[in-house]
Amino acid sequence: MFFWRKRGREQKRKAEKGVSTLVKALEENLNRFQNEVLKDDDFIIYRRFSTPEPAHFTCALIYADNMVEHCFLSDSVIRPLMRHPLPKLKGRDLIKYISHHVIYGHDVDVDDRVNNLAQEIVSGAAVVLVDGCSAAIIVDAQGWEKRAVSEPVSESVVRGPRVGFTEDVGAGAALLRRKLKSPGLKMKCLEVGERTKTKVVLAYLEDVADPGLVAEVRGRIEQIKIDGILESGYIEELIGDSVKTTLPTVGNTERPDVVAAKLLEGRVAVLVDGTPFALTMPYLFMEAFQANEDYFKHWIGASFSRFLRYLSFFLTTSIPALYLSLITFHPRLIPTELVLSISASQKDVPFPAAVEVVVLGLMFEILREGGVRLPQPIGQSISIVGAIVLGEAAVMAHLVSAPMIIVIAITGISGFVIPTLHNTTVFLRLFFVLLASVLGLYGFLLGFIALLIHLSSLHSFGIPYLTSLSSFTSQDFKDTLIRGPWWRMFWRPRRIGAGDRVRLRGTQL
Amino acid sequence: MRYRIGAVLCGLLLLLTGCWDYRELEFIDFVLGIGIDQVEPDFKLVAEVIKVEGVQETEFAPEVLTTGGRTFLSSARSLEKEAGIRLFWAHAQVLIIGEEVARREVLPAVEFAIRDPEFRTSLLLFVAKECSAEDIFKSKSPIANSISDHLRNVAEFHRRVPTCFIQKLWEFRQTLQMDGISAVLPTIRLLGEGPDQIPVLEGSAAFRQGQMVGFLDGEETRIYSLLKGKTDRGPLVVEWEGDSEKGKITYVIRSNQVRIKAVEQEKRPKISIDVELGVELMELGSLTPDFEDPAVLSELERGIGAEIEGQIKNLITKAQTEFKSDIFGFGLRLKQRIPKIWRLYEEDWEQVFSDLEVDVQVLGRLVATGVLSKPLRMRE
Repeated sequence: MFFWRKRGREQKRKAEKGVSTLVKALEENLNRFQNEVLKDDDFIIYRRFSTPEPAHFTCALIYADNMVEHCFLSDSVIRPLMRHPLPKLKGRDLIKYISHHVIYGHDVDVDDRVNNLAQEIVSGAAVVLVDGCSAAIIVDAQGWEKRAVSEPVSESVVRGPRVGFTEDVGAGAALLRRKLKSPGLKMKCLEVGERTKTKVVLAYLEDVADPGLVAEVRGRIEQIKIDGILESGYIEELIGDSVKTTLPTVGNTERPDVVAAKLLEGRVAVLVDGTPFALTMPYLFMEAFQANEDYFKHWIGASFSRFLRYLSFFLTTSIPALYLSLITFHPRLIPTELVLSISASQKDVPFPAAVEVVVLGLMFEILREGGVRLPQPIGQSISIVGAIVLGEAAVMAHLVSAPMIIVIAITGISGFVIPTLHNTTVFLRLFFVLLASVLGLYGFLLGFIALLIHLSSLHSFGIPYLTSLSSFTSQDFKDTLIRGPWWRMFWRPRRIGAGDRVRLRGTQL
Repeated sequence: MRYRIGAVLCGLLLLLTGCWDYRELEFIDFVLGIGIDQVEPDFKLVAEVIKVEGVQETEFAPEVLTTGGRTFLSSARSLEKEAGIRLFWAHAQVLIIGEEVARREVLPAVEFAIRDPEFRTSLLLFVAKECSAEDIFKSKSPIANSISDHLRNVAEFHRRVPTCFIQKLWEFRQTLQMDGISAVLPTIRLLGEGPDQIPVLEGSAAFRQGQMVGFLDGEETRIYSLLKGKTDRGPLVVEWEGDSEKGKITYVIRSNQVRIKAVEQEKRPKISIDVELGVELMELGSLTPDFEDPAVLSELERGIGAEIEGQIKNLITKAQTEFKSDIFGFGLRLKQRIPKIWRLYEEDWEQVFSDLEVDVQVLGRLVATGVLSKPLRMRE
């Protein structure tokens, strides 16, 4: 709209950069689109029509088929233009008059740069060209097939909202606003990807989130120079803190309630068009052990679930290494009866225990990977093959020992308890097993110390990765190892909700 | 630079290793029991090794291997050489010392186990009575698979059958290293004839200066462990003579409080022992003492006291005259209480112990009578 005011400067800039603008002749303009900018694209529709007497103007409507709402275009753009008698105006005044008085569209703009107009057309807008005017009206008419809001598959809950984001970022933003009806909820739209022009929404609570954090996230997103963003994973990797770790430093979720909870804690969320997965940051280690359902059910039960998750993390990373070091380096630590029966099961197995652990672990990962992308009916046959061929037959054939199968099974099942850390646990397990096979328990302990050092060295958007886990104050404790009762969670998590630390007001602190 | 220092330090850690090594479980054979016998002039090692057989249905067959050698380690190595297996000692549960070895000198039979970290300090020690350790291992256990398992099981519930005084390696070692106390080890003897002999855990062997000097029988051992302050769930049978009846009453000890006091009397040490026993009445049979009557009750309690007191006195006399060995630790008590006097008699404590004046007082108390509060009387 500021086009007219800054016309002189604009034209100068255009001339400098060689940006082509519209001319007055309609046919020439149409030719420009049809044979130059939008050449060889049969889905672009050019609709010519005329305005009624007395002022008889030839117009053209350009839009991309299936990207627009056809009813809206015929009712609110074409019909008024064909019915409404236009005054005797010319050029830009006429364009201004049409956009102000004729077209019913809710989002109408005026532009004259050919490339911009072409961009708008492929993004789902309709462009109205009028003969004799060197500017065009852009009417936002986006409308395409959308998936309905449904329950997220990746994060199902027993108790909790059943709503998940869809691929439409606008709908996602609306879902979020429905959760947080506060003017403090800010949602800034950014555009990332030179070719995909993906819409990215930066959401935060203005009075809770640390302004420095918001600026940092925004800065990192704006720095992205990439041709396309097809999923939030692209952004996660491009703005994440550490590239050398498999530990996540940016969280992702499909659920508006999770995003809302993170925003309330002072975090920043990034919604990306084209994917239901939103990003939250900063992401700390303990978040992998928190689930949204923890906050909906009774706090003691939730604390127990959380304890199980920490235990499972330990089991899935350490059980193979511990078992290996016990049976190869420290058989004296196993009770006599147990060591005898393990020894019996190992007797006819041709491979060393270390090889057994690694190979069986890999087999389990192959089974898992095979099951992930298979359709449901075939997926079941995978587990049958896994259970019978690997488990039963391998033991019968003395290829592996039975206790080893149990160990690997415990490892695998515990891994499912903390799916967010799957990437990490696979490698940690292997790392620990290798150390344990060389140095026994001693090696395992060295590996564990290395893990702790690594965890302490990580940061996510300036926040130490182990925040709240490395100290034992009651307010840190309340939402890490246990899930404290809501009436005790006075403060937002440390170092995150900088703007407004108090979560529970009006209670005696 | 910082990383380099860290890497060097972590590398150095690798040099601080203890004694462990990678070994596959399938290549080691577990020793469950160790026996030490005397063979002129060297000693003989007996090892009960568990052999694992079968995969689907695992069977554990114990096998007794023996070999002679100049020392423990040389015998152990030649055992491995002869049998072609690698022995793993950490799961050994029992160590049986042959009577010959115990009489001569007990230390060489246990020193290796104390020094070598592979042996558990909870190893149970036994002395083979009137036979060799090998005989014990070659006897037949009634139920358990191996003799070692059998002995360990019996030791587990020895409180119910209190005729032995269980000693673990670390306890024995402590006793050996202390002043004014001599060691006692439980004994095993063989019962029966021929190939079906079974090992029985009963009685104990008393030591003096690391040499076995004699045996205590089961009852004496029980009294000994009572004096050591232990309680047991074994029967205590006392003769009873009432107004018109005569028979045996069986009790079980509920609580046992022992106070051993060392006092000085005209520059001579004197020991006084106070034992307070709380007992529960278990069996009356057809006797009908009216223990609700205070006079009868105190009569009963006096009977218990007198019974135990007599046995304690007999045991002490036996230790003083027969063994000349302070198995009760009176010297230790004296050293702790009146070090001045102890220092006077430290040198020839065994002699002093033989002539030591010991006062014994036992107080029995009836604390429970089962679910019946009266004797069961038959009515005509």
